[in-house]
Amino acid sequence: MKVFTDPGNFQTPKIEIAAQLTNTKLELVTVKHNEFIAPFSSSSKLPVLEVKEGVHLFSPNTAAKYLFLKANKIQDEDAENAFLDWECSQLLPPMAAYLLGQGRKDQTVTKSLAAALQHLDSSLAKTKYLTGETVSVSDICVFCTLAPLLGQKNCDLLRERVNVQRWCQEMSNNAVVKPVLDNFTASATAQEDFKASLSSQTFTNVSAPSNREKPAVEKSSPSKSCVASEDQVSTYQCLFRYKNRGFYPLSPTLNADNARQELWYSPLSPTLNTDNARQESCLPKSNARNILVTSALPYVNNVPHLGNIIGCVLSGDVFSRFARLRNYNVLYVSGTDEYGTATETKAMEEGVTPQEICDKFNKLHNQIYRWFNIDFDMFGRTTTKQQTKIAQDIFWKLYERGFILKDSIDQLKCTKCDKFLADRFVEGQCPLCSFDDARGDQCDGCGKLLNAIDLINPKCKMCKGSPIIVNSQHLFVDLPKLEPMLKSHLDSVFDSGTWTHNARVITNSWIRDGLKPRCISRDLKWGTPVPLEGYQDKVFYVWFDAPIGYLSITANYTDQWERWWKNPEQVEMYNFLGKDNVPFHSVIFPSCLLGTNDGYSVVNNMVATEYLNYEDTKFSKSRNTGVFGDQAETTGIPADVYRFYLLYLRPESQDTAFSWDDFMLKNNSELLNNLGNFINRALTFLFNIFGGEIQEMVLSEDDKRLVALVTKELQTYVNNLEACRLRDGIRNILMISKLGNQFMQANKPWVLAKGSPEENFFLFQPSPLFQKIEASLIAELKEKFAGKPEQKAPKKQADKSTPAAVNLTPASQEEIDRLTKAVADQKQADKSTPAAVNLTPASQEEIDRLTKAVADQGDKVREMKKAKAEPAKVAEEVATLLQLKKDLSLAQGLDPNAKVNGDAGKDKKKAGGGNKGGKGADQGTGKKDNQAKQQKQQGKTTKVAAGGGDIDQALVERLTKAVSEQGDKVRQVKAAKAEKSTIDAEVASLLQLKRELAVAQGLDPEVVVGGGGKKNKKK
Amino acid sequence: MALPDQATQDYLTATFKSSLKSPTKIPVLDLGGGKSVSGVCSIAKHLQRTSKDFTGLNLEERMEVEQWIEYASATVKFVDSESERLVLKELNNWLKDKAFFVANKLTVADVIMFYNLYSAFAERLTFQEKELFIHLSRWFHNVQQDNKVRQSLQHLTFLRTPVYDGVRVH
Repeated sequence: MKVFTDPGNFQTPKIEIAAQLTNTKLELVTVKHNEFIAPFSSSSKLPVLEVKEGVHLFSPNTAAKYLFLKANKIQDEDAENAFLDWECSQLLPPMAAYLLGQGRKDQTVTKSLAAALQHLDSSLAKTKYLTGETVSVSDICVFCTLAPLLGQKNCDLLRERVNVQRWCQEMSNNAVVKPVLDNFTASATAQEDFKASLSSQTFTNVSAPSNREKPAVEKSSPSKSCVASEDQVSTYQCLFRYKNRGFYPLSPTLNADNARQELWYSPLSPTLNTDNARQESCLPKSNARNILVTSALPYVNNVPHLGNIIGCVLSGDVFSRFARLRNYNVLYVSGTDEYGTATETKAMEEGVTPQEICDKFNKLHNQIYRWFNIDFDMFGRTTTKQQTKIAQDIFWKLYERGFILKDSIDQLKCTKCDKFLADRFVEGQCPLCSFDDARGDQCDGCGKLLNAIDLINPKCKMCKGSPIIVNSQHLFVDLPKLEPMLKSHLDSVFDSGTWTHNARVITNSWIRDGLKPRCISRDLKWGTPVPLEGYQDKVFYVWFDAPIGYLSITANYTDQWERWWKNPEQVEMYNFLGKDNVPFHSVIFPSCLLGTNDGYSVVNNMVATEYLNYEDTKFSKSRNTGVFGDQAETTGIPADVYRFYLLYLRPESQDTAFSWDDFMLKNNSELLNNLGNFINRALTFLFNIFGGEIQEMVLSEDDKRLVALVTKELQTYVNNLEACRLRDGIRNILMISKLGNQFMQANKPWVLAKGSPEENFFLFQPSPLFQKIEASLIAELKEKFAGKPEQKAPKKQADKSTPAAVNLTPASQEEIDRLTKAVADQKQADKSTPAAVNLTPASQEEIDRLTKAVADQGDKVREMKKAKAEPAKVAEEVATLLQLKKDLSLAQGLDPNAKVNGDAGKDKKKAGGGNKGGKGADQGTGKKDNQAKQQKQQGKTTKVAAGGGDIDQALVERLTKAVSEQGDKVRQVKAAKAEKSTIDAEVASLLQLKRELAVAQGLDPEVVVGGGGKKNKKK
Repeated sequence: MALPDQATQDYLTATFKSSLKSPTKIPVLDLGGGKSVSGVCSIAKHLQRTSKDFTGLNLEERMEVEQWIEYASATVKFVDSESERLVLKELNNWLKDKAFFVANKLTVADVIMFYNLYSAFAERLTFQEKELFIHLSRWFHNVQQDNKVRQSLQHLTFLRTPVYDGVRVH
C-alpha cells in the first residue's frame, strides 16, 4: 500500500505507526503540499492512503483503523470509533487552529482545546490507555495530533492534567511510536515543513465546545479581564460571557435583573447615532474617529450599471452609513471623472462641446445615485477650478523635488483630424495574427494586447485616414525613485488597515514586478493643463488627474478641505473601488502624494471588489447586456430591493453574477419570507392585540437565550462591517430575523392570544424582546400604524447599511404590491394582472357559475388540442380559460396568479390549501406568500418562454390526464369520508403528479402546487 | 436543532427505536450490557457495520463509507456560500461515475450525506445550480425516492431537461 503525504504533515505518523504495529508494508510517497491525490477532490486532503488502485482513504483515522482492522487487532470497534470521531471533530480542529497561531487572537481556540484536553484527562483516569490496558488505534491517532504540543515551551495547556501527562509519557516512549516521531522531527527543515504542511491543509472550523464538555465550561472561572474591548469581542466570547455571568441556559443560577440590564444595554454600545441630521460641513474632530470614505470616480460618459454601483458607490455608502451610526465622524465623497479622450470623442460624435457632454452625464449620474439612495456628503466632478489648482500644485511639488522625468515617445497622429490618437481610436491589421480589425490597444482576433504603433496599416477610427508616427515629448513620474517611500507607507497600512485580499495581491504584484516611470501627460485638449513651460499644449493623463478629484471635490465641499486631506494623524481613509482601479489608488496616487512631502492623508484602507457579471456574461453597454442605473429605475422595483440584492451578492472574494431568477428568489425567500415576515408578524401582533403598546415583560430562560443569540449575531455583524465584509453582514441580519421567526414559531403567540389572561400576559414576549432593536422606530411605527394596523403591513426598506434591524422603516402593503406588479410587468409585460388582489370571497353562486365555466372551457381546450386545431385558435381559447380561472380564484378569495398558470384547471382543491395556513393571526403572512409565489412564478415563466421548445407535449398530456384522474380519486375519497390518512396519501400523490406536470410544462412546480415546502416550514 | 441533525436523529430513532436516547444534543445508542455509542458519526458507523439493511460490503468499502460519514458531518457544515460551492463541486466530481457514494448501493454514507445536503438543495440552490452539479443532483434525486430515508422531508423537484446549457458556455 502507498501513503501519499507532503513533508512535515503531522497526521501522517498516525498511518505510519499503525502500519508498523500491524506489520503492514507501506510505501511512503512524498508529494508537494497542496497536491491533490484523489482525482475528484477540489482541496488537498493529505495524507492519503491508497488501499488499492482507485480506493483512497483521505481520513487518517479511518486509514489507521483500516490497517488495524485488516490485521484483526481491534476488539471493540465502537469504543475505538468513539475516540477516533472525538479526535477528528473535537480535538483536531482547535489543535490545528492553535498550531496555526490563531489561539492568540481567538479565545475560542484555546477554550475548545482546553475543553478537549479536559475530556481526554477524564477518559484516561481509569485505564492506562484510552480503550484499555494496551495501545490501540485511538491512542495513536489522539497522540499524534497532540504530539506537537509536547515540544512547545511555555505551554500550560497540559499543566494539571496528570492523566494526560502520564499517558503522553507512555506513548512517547513506546518502542514503535518513538522512532517514527523522532524521524518526523529529524530533518533539518522539519519545522518549516511542518508549518508549510499545516497551512496548506484545510481543517474544520473550531466550534464552541458542545454539551459534552459541559463540566469544563462550568469550571472556567468568570473573568471579565479576558474580554477585550467591545468591538473586538469575538462572537463566541460574547456568548461565553453570558454563560459565565449566568445568562446562558446552560448555567444553573441566574440573576434575572442583572441579566436583563446587561443584555439590554451592553451589546449595542456605543450608543447608536440615529440622528440623521447632517452638519452643514463636516470637518475632522479631535475627539472622534474621523473617517474619510471615497468611492472610485465613475467615468462620466457611461451610464453606470449595477456592477459599477455595487463595486464602489453603494459599498462606500453602506460603510459610511454604518460608520455614522457608530458615531464616527464620516465624510463620504465621490464625483464624476470627466476629462479624457473618450469624452472628447463622444462630444465630437454628438456635435457638442465636451463640457456639455459632462454636464449632461454628471446630471444623469447624480440622478441615478440619488435614486439608489447613495448618501454622499458631496458628489462632485473633476472639471472644476479647484481640480486644476490642486493638480498643478501637486505636479509642481513633485517637479521641484525631482520626481518628474522628461522623455519622448512615439505616438500616432492623425493629420486630418489634427490630433494624437489614443490607442482605442486606431484600427488596423494585427501584427501578430493578421486579423483585419484590430484595435490599437488589443486585437479582438487573438486577444493579445498591442501597441498602437505596431499595427499594420493603422487607420484613424474617426476619419479612416492614415495616421503618422510622431515623436512627442512627455512627462513621467519617477516611480522607482518614490518606491521606498511608498513601500514604507504600505508596510504600515497593510499591517494596521483593512485591505481586501485582491487589493493586497494586486499592489504587491505591481511592486514585485518593479515600478517603472509612468507617463502623466497626454496630447489632448480636454484635461487639466500641464503648467510646465514647453508642455503647455498638453494635459495631465486621467490617472494622474482623477484621484486628485477626491481632493478637489472635497475642496468644493468645504474651503477647509486640507483639514481632511492634510491630516494623516487624525484621518483614516477608506477607498472603495473595483479591482481594476487598485494600482492607481494603491501605487500611483499614494506615490504622488507622498512625493510632494506636503503631509497629505494617504490611503489607509482599501476595499476592492471583484466583478459582477450579468446572467453569466459580462455587463456590456455596447451590447446592451445588463441592467443600467437608469433602467433599474424604470423597472419600478424599489431601489432598496436592488440594494439588498446587490449587497447580498457583492463580489467580495470572487466574481458573482446578477441573475433575475435569483433576484426574485432571494427577494422572496430572504427579504419577504424571512425579514419581511418577521417584522410583519411582530408588528401585526403588537398592533392587533396590544394596540401598539409594548407590554411589561418578564424574560424566561428561552427568551434570554434568544437575546444571547441575537446579540451574538449583532456582534458578528458589527465586526463584519468594521472589516468591510458587507456581504457577510447581510447574512447576520437575515440570521437575526430567522431567529426571530423561529422564536415566534416556537412560542405561537396566536395560540396564546386565545388563552387565559395569565397566558395573555406572556403573549407578547416576542415583540418586547425586540424592543431594543426596533426602539428607534417605535414612535414612528405608532404614528403610522395606530388606528388601522390591519390594512397595512410593514416592509423592510432594504437598507442594509445600518446595524441589525435598527432602521426598519415601515412602508405600506401597497408598496409590496407595487413591487410585485412591477417585477411582473418588467419580466412579462402582463399589465392585465391586478397587482393588489382583493381577497374577499364572492357569493357561492358566483363561484359555482365560474367553476362550471372553467370546466366547460377546459373541455373545449382539450377537444381542440385533441383535434389538432390551429395553434393560434387554441391559444385564444386557453387565454379565455386562464381569464376564467383568474375570475374564479378572485371569487374564491384567492390570489389568481398562484394557480392560474398551473395545469389544466383541476387544482382548485389545492389552491385553497395555500391560504389555510394563513388564516387568523397569520393572515399577513399568507397574503405575502401568495405574492411571493406570484413573483417567482412570473420570473420562471419568462425563463421558460425564452428557453423555448423543451416541453415534451406527450408527457404533458399524459401527466395532465393522470392529474385529472388522481383529482377525481381525491374527490371521491373525500366524498366517501375516508380516513384522514387515506385522503392525505391520495392528496400527496396528486401533488406529486402536479409537480411533475409543472416541470414537464417548464413551470416552477412549487408555485403550481402552492409552495409545499415553504408552507410547511411556516406552520 | 438544525435540519441535518434533526433529520439524522429522526432517522436513527426510527431505526433503533427506544434504544436511542438523546439527553442532550448528542444522541446516545444504548447497546445493552452497559455499553453505548454516542455521537451521530459513531452511531452511523455502528449502523453500517451491524445492520442487515446495509450488508455486503468488504472492509475497504466499509472504510470508504466511514470516511464519507465523517466528511458529511464535518466538512459539509457550511460556513459560507463559497466553501459550500467547493464541497458541492467535490461531491459532484466524486459521483460522476457512481450511483451511490460507495459500492453502487445505498449505504449509511448516502443517508447521512443526504440530510446534510438537504437544506442546500431545498433552500439555497437555484435550478441553474442544481443543473451545474448534475451528478450530485441525480444522486440526490435517486436517494430521495427511498421513503425510509426521506422520512417526512418534502420531495424536491429536479428538472428533467437541462435548460441552462446555453448559458453556461460564456
